[in-house]
Amino acid sequence: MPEKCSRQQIVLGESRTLYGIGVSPGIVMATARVLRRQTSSAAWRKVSRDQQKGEVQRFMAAVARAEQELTELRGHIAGDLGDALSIIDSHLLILKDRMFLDRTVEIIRSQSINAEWALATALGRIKKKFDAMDDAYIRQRFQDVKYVADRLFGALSGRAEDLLAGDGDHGVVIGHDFSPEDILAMQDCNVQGFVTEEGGITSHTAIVARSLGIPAIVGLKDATCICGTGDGVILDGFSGRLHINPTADQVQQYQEYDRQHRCYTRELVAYTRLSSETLDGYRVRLSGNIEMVSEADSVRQYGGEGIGLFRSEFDFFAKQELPDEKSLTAAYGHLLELFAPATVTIRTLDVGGDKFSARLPGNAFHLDLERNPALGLRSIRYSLRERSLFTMQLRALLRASVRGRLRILFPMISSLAELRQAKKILAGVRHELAKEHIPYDPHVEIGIMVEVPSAVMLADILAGEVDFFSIGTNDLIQYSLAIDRGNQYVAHMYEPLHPAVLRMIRQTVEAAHAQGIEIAMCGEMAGDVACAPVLLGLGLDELSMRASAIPHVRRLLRMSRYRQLVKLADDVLACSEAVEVRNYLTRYLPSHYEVDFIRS
Amino acid sequence: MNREREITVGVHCGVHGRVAAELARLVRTKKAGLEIITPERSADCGSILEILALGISRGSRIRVRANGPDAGSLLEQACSLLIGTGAGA
Repeated sequence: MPEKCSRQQIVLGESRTLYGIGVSPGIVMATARVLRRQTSSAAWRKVSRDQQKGEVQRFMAAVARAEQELTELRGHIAGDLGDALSIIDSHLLILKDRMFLDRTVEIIRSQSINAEWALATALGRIKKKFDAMDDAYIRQRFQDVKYVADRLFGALSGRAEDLLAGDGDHGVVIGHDFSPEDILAMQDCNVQGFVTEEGGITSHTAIVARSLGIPAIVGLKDATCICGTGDGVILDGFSGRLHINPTADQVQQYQEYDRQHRCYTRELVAYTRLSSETLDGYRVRLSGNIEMVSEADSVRQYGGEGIGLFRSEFDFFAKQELPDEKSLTAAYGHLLELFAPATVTIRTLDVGGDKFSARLPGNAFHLDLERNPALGLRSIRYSLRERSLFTMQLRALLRASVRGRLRILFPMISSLAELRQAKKILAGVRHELAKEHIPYDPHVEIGIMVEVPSAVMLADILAGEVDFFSIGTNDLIQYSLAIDRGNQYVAHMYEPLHPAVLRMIRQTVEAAHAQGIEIAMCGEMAGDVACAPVLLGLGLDELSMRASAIPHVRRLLRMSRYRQLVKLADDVLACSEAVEVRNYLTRYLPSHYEVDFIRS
Repeated sequence: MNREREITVGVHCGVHGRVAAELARLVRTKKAGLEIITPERSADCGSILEILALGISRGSRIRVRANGPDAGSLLEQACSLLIGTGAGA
């Protein structure tokens, strides 16, 4: 409790550092302002029978006011802050929830007590239910119920719920806890950063801070008593450190760090427009991974040279009905035109595993039966079985191919027979289209995802049958290390820099190049700045990643020499343990690329 | 009309805030009620808090029951929401 601790033990002006959880990156050097919310203690008051109706009305008026406040706040939020919108929407749902609203009214009536006490009682019951849960993530969602309750208590007491009322410059605000709504309101008051005593990295408050770009630290115990209004502070949202009354050295160090970070961010913008080549002219292609055609814009903004992976599942999941050939042809054609003459790689339907849809034929049935879905009827296996759906997608792809430069990617190929079967179906579709006099591009390139260890072992054979390879690291790591990343007990063993994974990548690259075909990587690893230099040194021709990672990777590439990248890959491949690889990179990367990777 | 199905929850983090909110909102648009039944407890999906309080994690086996004129479509949409349609590389 803030009131209990005293500032007397702390020498005024003494410099000290507190450690919390950095949830929203950035550095702020400013004056602190400690905010204490008036917590209205819910006094117990008997309400007589004839007063009951009035008390319920008073409560309902408070609900209406809280609803109005939330709705108004929602109206002010820019449309691109989707996370913030959905958080407020869920708070509106909680406000009107039966367990909350009806229960409070019922308690007012049955126990003849005041609204505050009834609300506190209802809240206590909900808390008990949440406390009993095993899942820490869901347990934490009680915080949202509490934010809504606080707003209601405020409305009941009749006081204005304006934390930040008053003078202009707020610097860094420090409080016990802030709701997502508080953070949205801070945006209008020049608040540069905030610190809370409660909260974790997955809290909704943290999510909103990140999407607004307000640096923040949460979970900093006793921050409101140790720090006082008017203290000079440095808030480091990267590491979660709060320096109170910093020393001259600390200030200087942070000014330098802040300058570097700003330079880096500014510098990155330039890299969206430069070519993807090393200092000595070695070129690769950096492209984007997308799920929806609407994401294509952001790939272009970040300087992506084409689409290295279009996950085509979304079109099949998004609507009530399955898409038809005509709508798919139009969507694919549009995407191809957007990037022409650059290539667009579209992966055929990759369902199953962690990607289910009850609407796809047969899928709901298989989902119910499968005990080991990652090894079950998924991806190309599903397409080869649900032949008409697969044929329809291939027809749409080929019909769209005349509008740009298409590459078709078959996922999860694990044997030559499977690849030949898929190619045979594609040949059939080509034949059909020719017979119907429907034009298509005869030079469409065909490739496979290399994401099953058997495909790595057979890479030399498979390379002779396709135009390109694309390594899918997420599945390749899962299958080769036998790790389910969704399982909290083994997830820490999921390691992209595992020597076994690196050797498989090298083997696949060598097999592709021996046959003279291109090899890309489209897994998460390709956009990881710690891995990218190694991958470039291994000789991958294309790295495809989420759009925002493209300038980061391009910067690394443009600061490198090809020979130096090859040597890095050789050195790393000589390591026998992942931890050795990581240690090597921790030393190597900052000295070669002038950036502290752990922090940025 | 009364419809019921048994499914395995596939959404990535279990039935958390967003999915719970979508379920509660979905129920409001339909002429039918929806209930989720776990081996220990059950929840009426008209209440986001009841859904959250079930604490359902990914991989749980649950029964979903819909009741009312729109039961068929409500059950289908609710199940596809719970089974999940995420995507990854």
